[in-house]
Amino acid sequence: MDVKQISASEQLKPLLSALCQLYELDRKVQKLGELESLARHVEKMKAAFEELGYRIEDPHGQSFNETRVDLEASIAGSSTEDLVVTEVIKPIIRLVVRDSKGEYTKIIQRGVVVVESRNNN
Amino acid sequence: MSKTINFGIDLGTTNSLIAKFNKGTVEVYKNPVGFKETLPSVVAFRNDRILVGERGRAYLEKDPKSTVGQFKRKMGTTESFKIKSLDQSKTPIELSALVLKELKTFIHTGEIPEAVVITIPASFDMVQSNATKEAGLQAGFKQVVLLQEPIAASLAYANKTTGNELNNSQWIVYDLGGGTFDVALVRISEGELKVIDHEGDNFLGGADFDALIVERIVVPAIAKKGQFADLLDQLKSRSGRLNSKWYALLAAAEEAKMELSTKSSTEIDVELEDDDGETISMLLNVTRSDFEAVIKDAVDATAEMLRTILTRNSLQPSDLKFVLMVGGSTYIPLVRTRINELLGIPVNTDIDPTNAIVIGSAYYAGNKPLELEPMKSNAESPSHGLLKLKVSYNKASQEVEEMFSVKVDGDVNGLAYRILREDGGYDSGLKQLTSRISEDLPLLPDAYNSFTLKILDQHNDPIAVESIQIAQGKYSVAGQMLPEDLSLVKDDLQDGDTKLVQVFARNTILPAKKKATVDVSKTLVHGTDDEIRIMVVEGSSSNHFSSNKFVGVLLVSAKNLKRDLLKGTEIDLTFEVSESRDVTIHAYVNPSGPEFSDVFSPKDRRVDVKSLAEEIGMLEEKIEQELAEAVNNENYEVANVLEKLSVPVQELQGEAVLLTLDDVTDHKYKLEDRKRKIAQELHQATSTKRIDGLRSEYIEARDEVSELVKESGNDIEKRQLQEIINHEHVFLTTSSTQRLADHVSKLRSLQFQILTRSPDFLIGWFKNLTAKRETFNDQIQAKNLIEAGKQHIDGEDFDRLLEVNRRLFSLLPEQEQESKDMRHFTGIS
Repeated sequence: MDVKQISASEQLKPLLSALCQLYELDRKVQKLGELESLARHVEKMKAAFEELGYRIEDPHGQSFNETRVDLEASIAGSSTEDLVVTEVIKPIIRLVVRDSKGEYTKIIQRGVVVVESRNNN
Repeated sequence: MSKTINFGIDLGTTNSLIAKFNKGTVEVYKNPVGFKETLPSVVAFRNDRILVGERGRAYLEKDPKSTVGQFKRKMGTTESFKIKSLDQSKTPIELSALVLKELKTFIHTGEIPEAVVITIPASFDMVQSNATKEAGLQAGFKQVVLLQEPIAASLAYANKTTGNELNNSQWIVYDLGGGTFDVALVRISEGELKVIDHEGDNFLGGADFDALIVERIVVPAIAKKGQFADLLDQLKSRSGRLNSKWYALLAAAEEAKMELSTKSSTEIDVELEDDDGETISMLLNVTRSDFEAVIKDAVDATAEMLRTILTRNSLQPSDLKFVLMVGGSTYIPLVRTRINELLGIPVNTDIDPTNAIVIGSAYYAGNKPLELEPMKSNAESPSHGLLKLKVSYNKASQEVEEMFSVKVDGDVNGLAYRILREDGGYDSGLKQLTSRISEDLPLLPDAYNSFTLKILDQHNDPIAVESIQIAQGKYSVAGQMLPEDLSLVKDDLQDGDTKLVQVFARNTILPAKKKATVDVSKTLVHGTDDEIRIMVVEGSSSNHFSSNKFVGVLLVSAKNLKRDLLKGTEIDLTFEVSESRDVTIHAYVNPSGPEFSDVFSPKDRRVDVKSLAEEIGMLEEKIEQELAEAVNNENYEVANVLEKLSVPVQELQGEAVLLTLDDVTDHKYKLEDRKRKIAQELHQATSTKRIDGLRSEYIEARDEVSELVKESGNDIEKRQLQEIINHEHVFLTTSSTQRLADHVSKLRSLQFQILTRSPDFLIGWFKNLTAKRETFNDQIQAKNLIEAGKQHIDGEDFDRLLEVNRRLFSLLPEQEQESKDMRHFTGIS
């Protein structure tokens, strides 16, 4: 399947939306620590999506510079050097493709993030 | 027929798009990075890179001395933009040319257009128009035709709808985009389309609406919930404590705005710390009327501009055919209703407002003949002859970045290069080519990273392409890859045997982790000695498990359970293999709760004496079965091999029973090795038979199902069958019995699915089930069901007959077969 077509597909929007919600759920469950039983369901959902080839990548804490095109970033603060992702509005979603070239991933949703200079903190 | 231009570009103040006319239809191209149709008209110059589009926009506000946007407003002026990082100035023409060149990269067919139609605002004068044309020539187009934006939008409408008589009429094109607003009066007179008048506001658009939502709805709500001295300042000020939240809230507001175009209310999720360090967490409900209240003044202002045009041209609203809505912000219902309400002119929303202009330009281009006469251009076109590239880099790396360098022989003057990673996560941006270039390429972990280096001429057209492959975390250190498959042993209830399910394939990069869910295939009564075995073996997953090397078994013992574990319960398994090949199995038994986990390392190889004895028993039984079959089929060659195997297996059996359960010597390992070797020989001797058997079974099933699908299959079933047949050349030549068996099973399921729609089949099935009436578990229920089934047959209610059959089937006792122990060897399936 052509990844460009997949990504551009309107049909994919609900799936991407579900994956974003799953990411949010995961984030909240992790934050609320005590809900371990809930975390298992989230993990299973993530595993199920992974089986289908969809991988959620959390860019929180990753470095950002102008060569990264997997993120749509808003820069907070005044400095634009030594940037790091401090807020994730949408995670990066990759599709695992298996074909004659082997197994590789393609980005089907870029992460939407806020980045800040480490020097701001 | 003469050739036509075909390519159209909407070179917008905020965003730009490119499209192509092809045989009556228009394709709007998408950015290969991020797949959006729109490219923000922003250029950033950072660290000797040129970044066009969204990455440039990220730096617009925070690095304004090296980033330029909205340069379209300065087209045709003598003004230029000083770029701090370059220490030189760039003209609006040069910046526009960069945007146009970037748009060329959207064309996925690799076609290099020589001519293009570029749209311009109705307000552009001669100088501004010529400046736009020059930008097109600098971008490498040999012919540039200009088209006014309102005309383009009108053409998009005219081409979309049929039977609309536009001749000798006039209308308004209302264009409210992300950052600018334009309104134009368009008239068609004697077949000629003309812009009569126009108005606009360069600082009004959707982005302003997002900010209004945050400022007037979200911020007051947050302020009520916590302690804030100056919340809005803290958010908006670049040195403010909450500046990062401002962008997060703007993004949430934009999403809410889009949702409110179709829904009457939405929610914004807010989480931030107040001045006292308390976390404010709230889900703010925003209704469409809240949103409309904050943007109403701005929308009314646009109506006012429209009214000005009417007054200036002595027109009444009734003189206009409609107001044609263009620009993403015209999706907002208030914009549509308010314009209609205030001016009484019908609003036309027939075209996609986000790409109408580029679509109109492509339609125009589709009818505009290509006239490639030499045109004057300031751009030089040097000849670069043959470039020789000598690339050097490590093809395997353990680093997160790898240095890539190229030595270039030849004339590099005026050339640029660009490196892209194929997953769409890295773009070096446009950089000037020199005789030696080097770049730190970021690598995705544990993956083959494919990059493309393109050498581009001054028009952004590629003149050389080099592909770069770097394996991260792949080779380099010995022992990083798994040498054999690791598989989980499961019961194969159908065949009364075990089967292997591959967990990690051979050559998987370590460390690796995988999850799986299995079903408990027998009920475990708590407190008893019963157990389930989560067994992992190493070796080819297409072989039988007994020929694989035993890695470890995690025992889920009934003694540790608080209550019975019912058949069918799911167990969540996690398998981890460390770099040093320790295998960790973790089992979570739901709903009883207990968790079991164990680590198995190669240096601490465990052999479970009880399992070993059982496995040897199973092996002996199997050899006897196969031997009898081979003799029966007069396959003496195989029989001979098998006969030779029965002696050592019997010896093994004798030695295994002598082992104590807690044997501490290495004798059990030796026995296990011997067992494995015998199993491998057995597998080898009988593999041809199994594969041949399965192949015939597959072919028989395929022919039967093909016939059935042809007669009674629906489209989906036809597709499913075709998909299996399309791949048969792969699995028919495989040595994996599992894959063949899976496909036979798929075919049989498909067959059953179709047959359940056939009354004859359902009646036959029903009769077959009623013949077994004595064996049903619940005789009363079975009797009632049989009665109901008969009635459904008489009444020809076959849906309900199917339901009866299913329920009767579930009342049948489990098929107890001879090799019961073998069927529940692991207790999972």
